Amino acid sequence: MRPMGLNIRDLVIDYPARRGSGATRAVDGVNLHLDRGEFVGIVGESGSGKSSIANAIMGLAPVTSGEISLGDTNLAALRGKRARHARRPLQLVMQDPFEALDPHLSVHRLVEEPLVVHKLGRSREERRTRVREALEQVGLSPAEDFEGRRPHELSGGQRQRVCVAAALIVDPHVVIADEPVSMLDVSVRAGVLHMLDASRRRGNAVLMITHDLPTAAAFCDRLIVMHQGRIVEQGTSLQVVGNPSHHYTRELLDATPALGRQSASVPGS
Amino acid sequence: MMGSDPLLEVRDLNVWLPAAAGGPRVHIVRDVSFTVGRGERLGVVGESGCGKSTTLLSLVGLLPARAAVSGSIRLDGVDILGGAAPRGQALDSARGRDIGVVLQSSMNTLNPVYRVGRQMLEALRPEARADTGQARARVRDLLERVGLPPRVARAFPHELSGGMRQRVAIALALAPEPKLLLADEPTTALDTIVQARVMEVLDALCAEDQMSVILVSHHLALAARFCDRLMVMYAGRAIEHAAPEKISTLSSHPYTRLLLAATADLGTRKDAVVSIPGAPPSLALAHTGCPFEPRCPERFGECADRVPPLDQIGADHHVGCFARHTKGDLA
Repeated sequence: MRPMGLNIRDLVIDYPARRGSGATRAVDGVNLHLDRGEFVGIVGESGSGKSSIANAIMGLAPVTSGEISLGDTNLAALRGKRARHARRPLQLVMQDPFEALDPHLSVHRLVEEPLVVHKLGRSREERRTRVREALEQVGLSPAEDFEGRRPHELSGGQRQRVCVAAALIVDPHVVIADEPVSMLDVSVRAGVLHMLDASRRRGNAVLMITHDLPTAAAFCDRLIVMHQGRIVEQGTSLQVVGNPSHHYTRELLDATPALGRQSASVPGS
Repeated sequence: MMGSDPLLEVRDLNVWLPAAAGGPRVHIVRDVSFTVGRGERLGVVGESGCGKSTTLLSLVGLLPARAAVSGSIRLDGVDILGGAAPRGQALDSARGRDIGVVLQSSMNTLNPVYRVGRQMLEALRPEARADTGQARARVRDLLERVGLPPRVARAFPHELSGGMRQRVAIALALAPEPKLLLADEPTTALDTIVQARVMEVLDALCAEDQMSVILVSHHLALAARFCDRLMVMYAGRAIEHAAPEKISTLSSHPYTRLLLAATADLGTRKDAVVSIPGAPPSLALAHTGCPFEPRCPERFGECADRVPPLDQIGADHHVGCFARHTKGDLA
């Protein structure tokens, strides 16, 4: 089966009224397309609606109107078992690797679980082989040293690698990564991002939600800038960063502290 | 570093935190020495667990009660850590008057059940509180200086946005007119644009008052933009002191340069963003050599045997690395 692209048309997400305030429109008419082999970033500040889009794609936020389609299937129109089945090619990597992992389960069980849930991998032996491959792929190597450990025996960066391994093991066509490195130390962020990039190179689509513009610009082919529920600008990373057309993008760029690190070279190289 | 009479002088600071259930205690700050001159801004940078926040908290006596501390901390020539002065008293007066603190989460600093104005009145020095009218005027003035309208004084913390709360926290820290402001990740919880505005406010206020600042941050670029000098910490030790423009040069510590290479800047290509292999050493163990040696691409024989001393390798540039000393000698 060929990896499928993701299409979002006229997406509107309202959150119901709460005591003292009316309904909130979090996403206001968003259109976006994500092709296979593409790494796309959505940037914007908190409240811009970027995480609501990720959650709606995964079926974790209500869709007020509009379409979210994977191939020919409109996910927003499906419910229950059919919706779960249709979302099988989608995987989510969340921000907090401390909350995302069940502390009682071993690394092996955590990474194996998506295979069991989706009834992939015929035997225990086959699943074990695939789990080891996935762990090696995300740099938890040798896999034998990691598969027996529990989350508390891992560093933050290692935990997020476990999350990425669990997401990639089912060979998803679309990976949604919501702030995948913002909780991690700077020294281990690049590893997780390069893993997502490797998934893109295998033909999958990666959608990364982040407020970190420099990182998004470095890793994404295209950038989508959101502000108050709307897309205010999109284009190639080079265009958006080098020649922004919307004043909000310019404001965001001006507010980003820079080191001028291009002049720095890596020691030992 | 700065003149002969620094505002703050920290010598050989060591902090041990009690161990969890039977394990060895954690030696979280190791032989750290630094000074902060009057009006000077020092940035303390490094990754989580490197001891930067603990160093900051030890300056204001906010360490857990069972923590063990050694070394000296002199503020305006007075040892506020121990020595002759009764520990608690010296620390309390320093904490309340001379050192202001801004933490990452202002929600924890502000009292949720009191209006902002009342909390600010309480933070003023007693002499400034004596006249109610003048005290109120001072609160309005402080709010104005952090860019907030007077009506904020009547608001409860939960009625304000994150950026506004952080401005209130800064106004609160500045209320007793401290000589030194400690800011621990003051903008980490904020969005990029709000972060830039809060840093601008902080910048303007510190410049007006000629205030000394210690900014703790894991954000190298942010600290480099705001500070006169940076102290890079790794595994509880200060491994480099440098002016911001020095840290992106070849003479910088290998760890500092790898940290830089792990950070994307606007315009950096993804191939140039690389992580640092390995992990920091456990702080429950003693290190015989350089703590970065196991991960260092430039290590050689001597590095595993003893901890490299911090040596001056240029004007306002001290590096604790044997590889750099050799190069420094040649230069």
